[in-house]
Amino acid sequence: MGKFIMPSLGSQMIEAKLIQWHVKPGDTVKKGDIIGEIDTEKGLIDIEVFEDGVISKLVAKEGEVIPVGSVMAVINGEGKTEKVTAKPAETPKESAKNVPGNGKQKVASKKQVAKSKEVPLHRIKASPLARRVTEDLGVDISKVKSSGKTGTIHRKDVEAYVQQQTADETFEKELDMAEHISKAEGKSMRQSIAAAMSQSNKEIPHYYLEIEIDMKAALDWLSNENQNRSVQERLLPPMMLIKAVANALTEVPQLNGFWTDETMHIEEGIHVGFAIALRQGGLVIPAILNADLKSLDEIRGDFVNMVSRAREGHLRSREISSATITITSLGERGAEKVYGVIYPPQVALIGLGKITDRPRAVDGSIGIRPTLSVVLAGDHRATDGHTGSRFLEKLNNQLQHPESL
Amino acid sequence: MNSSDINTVIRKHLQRVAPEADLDSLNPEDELGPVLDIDSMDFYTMMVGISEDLRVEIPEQEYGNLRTLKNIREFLRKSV
Repeated sequence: MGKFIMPSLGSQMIEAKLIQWHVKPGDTVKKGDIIGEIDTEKGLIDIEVFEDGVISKLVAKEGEVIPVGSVMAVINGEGKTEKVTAKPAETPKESAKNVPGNGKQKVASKKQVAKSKEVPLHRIKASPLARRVTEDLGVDISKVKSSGKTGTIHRKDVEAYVQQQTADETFEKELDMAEHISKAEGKSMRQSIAAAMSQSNKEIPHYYLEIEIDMKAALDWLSNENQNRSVQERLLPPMMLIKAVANALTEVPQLNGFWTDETMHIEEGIHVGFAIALRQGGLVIPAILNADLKSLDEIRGDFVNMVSRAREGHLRSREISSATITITSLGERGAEKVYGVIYPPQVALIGLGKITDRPRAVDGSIGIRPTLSVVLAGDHRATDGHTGSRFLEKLNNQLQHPESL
Repeated sequence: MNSSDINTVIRKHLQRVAPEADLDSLNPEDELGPVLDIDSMDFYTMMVGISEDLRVEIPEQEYGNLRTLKNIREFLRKSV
């Protein structure tokens, strides 16, 4: 049994209004299905489900304002239950405690109580290594679930449990922080940006590094590639830049992740957020998930699709809350460089200027080349200039060899 | 397809990317980007829409020239 909770789409979010459900009790859902739409300070967002199962109950009502972390729906998992993104379901003990004296619910609670009945420690099947690890980490082994068929707990199960606990704690902290920051009233997008940027400027010691990248090779390759493509399939510079950033991050992963609890947490997945300005003002930062593993064409598809959904207000919850790094680009007009503000808890932001023709030294003489200014904003708590500089060098290399992107 | 049909399609897609824009006050020689504050993605979306509606292919080398209403109209008149 899984509980679908109001997701947190950033540390500043405390609640959102449920606009509508796209499912009803009894519907079968698969991981990734869009089950409803919420109105947040980031605009209208489609919410996705993170496990396979059958909707058993819709707790939240359409039109209701729901705090982050509150149960919105109950989903009966099929077989193994996958971890729900934010907060997992309550432990059986807690839910038993919360059940009011209502006949129907009592039956359910009885079942859960039976399941949570304590098992004597010696009856728990666990490998010696797993037992040792639980002792070392001070983990109660009876709470760890086995992922194997035999029910034996292995070291990886203990580690998965600890990881989940840590994630829960981080989530609780975010909730606390959000409660401090905001009053119960829903916030506008402007206020949400204000809060995040103020927090960033207050807490993050930014360092800035800048590089001018010769874009001739990249743009020539792009234009050549586009000759054979219909307008629907055409590649645009931002798609290529997203891919180049993702590839460079595989070589310098220190910039990909979060600074939380005074520690850098490097993320394995490279989810490149891309700031999209909205016509009505404000911006949203959806992420292209696992951009390093995607082909340029897959990134193209995701990008086109995401930009149009961002502007129509149909981004998905996962896209808006997953970025591990952000790119901001002011497009092809106006400013030539952008010194960005890092979106916490991320540790780097890449500012792309406009590509303009500038004089450059090329092979011993001066040539006019299309040039892109890239400004990296780094969190000096997490990394030093050396790392940032290495990243920019790798990014430049990627763009000098566009054919291998 | 006549000029007025072409204009209708251009208008429809311009309106989609810049809903609040007053297209009547637009000068045919205005650069659409700065005047309507549309970026390269908006422009791309518009071109895809026009190309699908009019079943016309927009070659890469033409793409950069289509920055004003006048140029877009002329190109479409030739190509449709």
